[in-house]
Parts: sequence; C-alpha cells; structure tokens
Amino acid sequence: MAVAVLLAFYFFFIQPKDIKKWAAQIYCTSAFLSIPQKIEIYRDSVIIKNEYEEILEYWTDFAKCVETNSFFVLTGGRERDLLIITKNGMNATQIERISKHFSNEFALRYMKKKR
Amino acid sequence: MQSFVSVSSLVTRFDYADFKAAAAKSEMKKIEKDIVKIIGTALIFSSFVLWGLNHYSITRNIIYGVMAAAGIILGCFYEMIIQYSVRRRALNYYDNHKERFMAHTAQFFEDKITFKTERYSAAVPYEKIYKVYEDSRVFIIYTSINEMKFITKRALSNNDCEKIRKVFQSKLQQKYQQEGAR
Repeated sequence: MAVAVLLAFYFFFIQPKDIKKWAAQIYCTSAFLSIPQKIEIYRDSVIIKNEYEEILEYWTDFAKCVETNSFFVLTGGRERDLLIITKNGMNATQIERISKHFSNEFALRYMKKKR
Repeated sequence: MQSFVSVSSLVTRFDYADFKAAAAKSEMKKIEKDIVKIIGTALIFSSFVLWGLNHYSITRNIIYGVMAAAGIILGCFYEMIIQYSVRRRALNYYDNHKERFMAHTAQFFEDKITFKTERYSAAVPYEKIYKVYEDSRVFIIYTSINEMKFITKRALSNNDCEKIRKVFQSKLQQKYQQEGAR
C-alpha cells in the first residue's frame, strides 16, 4: 500500500515537474527553438527553415506524433529531435487536412489528446 | 569569405561509438564521479572492518568478499564499464540504423561554422553554440543540451585541429571543454 502511494506521488507530482524542468532546460539552451521558423509540409516530408538552418525530414523518420488542441508535436526526427507545429495561424480546413494526413502517415504512432 | 578549415567525412561505426562515448563523458558530472568513488571506497573499507570484527563464518566471508569486489568495481572501473556499455549500444544502434549516417561537411569560418549533409544545412555563429567538448577522438558541438554535431579527428590533420582549438578557445572560452585532447 505504502509503495503504491509513493509511486502515485512520484508519477503525479515529481515526474511531471522533472519533465517540465528538463523541457525548460532544453528550451533555454537551444539557440534555434526560440527563433521564428518556416515549416513547409509536404506529403512525405517537412522542410524546416530558420535564420540559421534548413532541415529536410521525412515523416517516416519521426518516432511519434501527438496532436493537442494547440499543437502538433513530432518527436524523434533525424536532425531535429522535437518539432512543434503550432495551430495558431492555421485555419480550420488546414488543421483538419494536416491532422488527417498525420493520422494516416503515422498510423499507430499518432495520438490525439483532448487538451 | 574563405573557410580556414574544411572537413568532409562519412561516419563509420567506430566514429559513432567514439562520439557517443565522448558525449557520455561530457555529461558525467564531476560530483557523480566523486560520489561513485566515495561509495566504492566506503564499501571496501566497511567490508574490511566487518571482516575484522567477524570472520569465522564462511557465508559472512563471502558477503564481505562480494562487498569488497563491488567496491573495487565501483571505485576503479565504473567509468570504464559505462564507456564500454555506451560504445556497445552505439555500435548496435549504428548496425541497425546504417541509413541514418551520411556524409557530411563542416567548414570553419572566423564568425561561424557551417554544416552540410544531403538533408541538413546550417550556418551556426559561434555565439549560438551552447558548448563544445573535445576529447582525443572527436569535437562535439552542442547547439542545445540535447542536440549536437560531431567532427571526428580522424578526418583532420594536427594543424587543422590546432586551428579549430584556437578558434574555440577565443570565441567560446568557458563553453569550451577539453578532456584528454591531443
């Protein structure tokens, strides 16, 4: 019982805090995550451009795609480990098309979250 | 503008293992190493003390022996074991993901480094680099805590290594770490 309580405490309170701390550390140390970028989405690939880099990644390179109300988050790319595509600035049709495309492309690696 | 060093290479499985081993060394903090050494020493010391107090039982002698052996492994060979396991994992990863490793070119200019592969091109000013780590086999250039590029020294002459070292020392100062570099 005590072990279960400790584990629940760890998973609900300590682990989320650690993950947030780790994410903040990545953001603060990265010179490229905080600058504006242009993302071109194609059927098989994505081109990410910012002031310093130009990256071509294929959807098959990514490990996972998570869709939330505000973002598409793709992880495990070859050159960019974390790709965040914000829905802000897209219209409903674009969001729906991209969502459908990712759902088909990633299949079991695609996950839609309600928040 | 002319680059002062240009290096092109294809990553081999041993280059990748060297890179992973160096990255693991760079991430291992001094305090971690010290704690492991202290635990190892404490284990050896306590096994001798306990053996001195009670060495008439075979079972206990075996336990104290195991404690001393664990202490020696932790205190003396911990880094070696970590390096071995990291290299092994890297070699396995390379064998299973060969298609991910392609030829790349890095060029060093006075104000930036450029990287080019078939699918990636970047011009990174020195002030945007998070840190650089150098060991005897590779230079690792971190663009964030978890994103890095590496340049194997196998593809560089001693003269080129010296030029790169000088520019890192002057441009990055505290952000440039060397360990066992030659």
